[in-house]
Amino acid sequence: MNLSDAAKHPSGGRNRLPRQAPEIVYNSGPVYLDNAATSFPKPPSVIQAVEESIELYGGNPGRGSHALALRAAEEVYACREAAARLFGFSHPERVIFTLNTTHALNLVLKGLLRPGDRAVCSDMEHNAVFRPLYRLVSDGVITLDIFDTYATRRDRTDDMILSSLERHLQPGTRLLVCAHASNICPLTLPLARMGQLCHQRGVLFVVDGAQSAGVLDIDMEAMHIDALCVPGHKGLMGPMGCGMLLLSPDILPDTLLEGGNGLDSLSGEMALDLPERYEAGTLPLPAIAGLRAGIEYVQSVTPAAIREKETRLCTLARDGLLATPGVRVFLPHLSGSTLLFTVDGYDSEEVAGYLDSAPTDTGMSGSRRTVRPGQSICVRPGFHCAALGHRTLGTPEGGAVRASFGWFNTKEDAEALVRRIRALPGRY
Amino acid sequence: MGNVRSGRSTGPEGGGGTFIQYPGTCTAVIGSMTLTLRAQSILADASIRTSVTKISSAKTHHGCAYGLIYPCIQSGNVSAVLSDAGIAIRQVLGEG
Repeated sequence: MNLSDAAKHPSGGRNRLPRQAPEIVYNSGPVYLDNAATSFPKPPSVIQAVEESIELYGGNPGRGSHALALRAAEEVYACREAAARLFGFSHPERVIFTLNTTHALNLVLKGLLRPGDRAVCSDMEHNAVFRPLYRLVSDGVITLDIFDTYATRRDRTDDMILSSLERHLQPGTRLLVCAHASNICPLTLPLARMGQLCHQRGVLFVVDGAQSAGVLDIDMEAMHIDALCVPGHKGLMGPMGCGMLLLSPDILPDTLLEGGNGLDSLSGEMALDLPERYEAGTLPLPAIAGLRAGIEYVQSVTPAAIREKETRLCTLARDGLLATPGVRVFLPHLSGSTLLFTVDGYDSEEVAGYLDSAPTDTGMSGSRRTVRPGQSICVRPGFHCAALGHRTLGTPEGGAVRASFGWFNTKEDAEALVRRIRALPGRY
Repeated sequence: MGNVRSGRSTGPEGGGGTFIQYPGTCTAVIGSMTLTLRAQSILADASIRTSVTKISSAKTHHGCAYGLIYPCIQSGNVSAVLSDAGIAIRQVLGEG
């Protein structure tokens, strides 16, 4: 099924759209390998949910009592319930909508950490974690410890990571924050064991699920996660425009934003009611409606199937690049959906620019000849907002190229990447 | 439209925002829209049908709030189910 045709499915309601993944064929257009930045394309049911929220019931959720406002509120709440179910969380009323993962992380870090507190993060963090912490350190509010993930060691084990973490959980440590999965390489952290350790030590456990939500299994309660920060537009396949903070009971961070939320309008204080306490201003209903559809889509195909497919395609590309002279693949001993590499003699920007150009690309895939006139390949060069991670990996000055696979990629996409890199004139 | 209904109207044509308490119905004032929908979901799991309504500020003395309308004959069950779920009823409006 062609994506554009599917999106215009004439049968109407969302329930009539295929819940299973349609076989999307890229007839033209780029090969999209930037799913760590945002997933693309989106399932047809997501597009339809966004359209319906605008066309059919676009009231302001939680404001007023007319039918469209109530219908909108019902949709927003249904999304909270869907997210809570996906992440093993029994408190949908504590699913807070944010602008994105960065907003969620800022809210929880700046809202929880107090003067004199000690925070801990890993040596692979994205700037969404590192920069709020850096600001708090710069302002003299907290001290920060960084634990070693041993990312570059082939003999790395979960026990090594846990020992490293344990050494940094000292008296006065208030909070551990870390990414479940790196945004630049296939590294993941053992959340369940880390959460257990934090639980035993009375340390709050905050997880950045930007790269793992919808792909890796996350069970907040089983993993002792106190705050889970996730995007809507990556693995959960929703549109850009909203993320979520899932906040366990008994935690009440200070607010980051204040304003109208439909409650206690005559008071100057933000009401204590969750989630509205942290949702000042109008919610992005179309993004939330699309996110709900995205979550339902992910649940229908299952994160396990998504993970298996993405890993299989990424491994295919990785093995092809490893067999290519002049190409260095970072952490080639790990498997996942994200591939980081450099090409000798080329800056990462040059490689990405070359891939983004639109040659006539022909090749063989099994017994089938593929012809993709004008097809470019979308990847991301540079440092990917991950200073800590790139320092840990020892990325060269020119940065590295990241190719990140998604559910809608194909074997041909992985092969096209390898073929195009092999066609680069050698500079080494 | 979904299964959420305002207290005074069941469709977009209803208009207005006046809270009306129909005979035989009670209204549990819950608070925020989210908590009210959470309460409605929990009650639905217990086979108690309700509809959402906005409560006027004058009725609650708490500013804007939402509540659930249900047959008064279910009052005991509604209180018990929500209490078990840790959801407080701020006030009950209606018969009795």
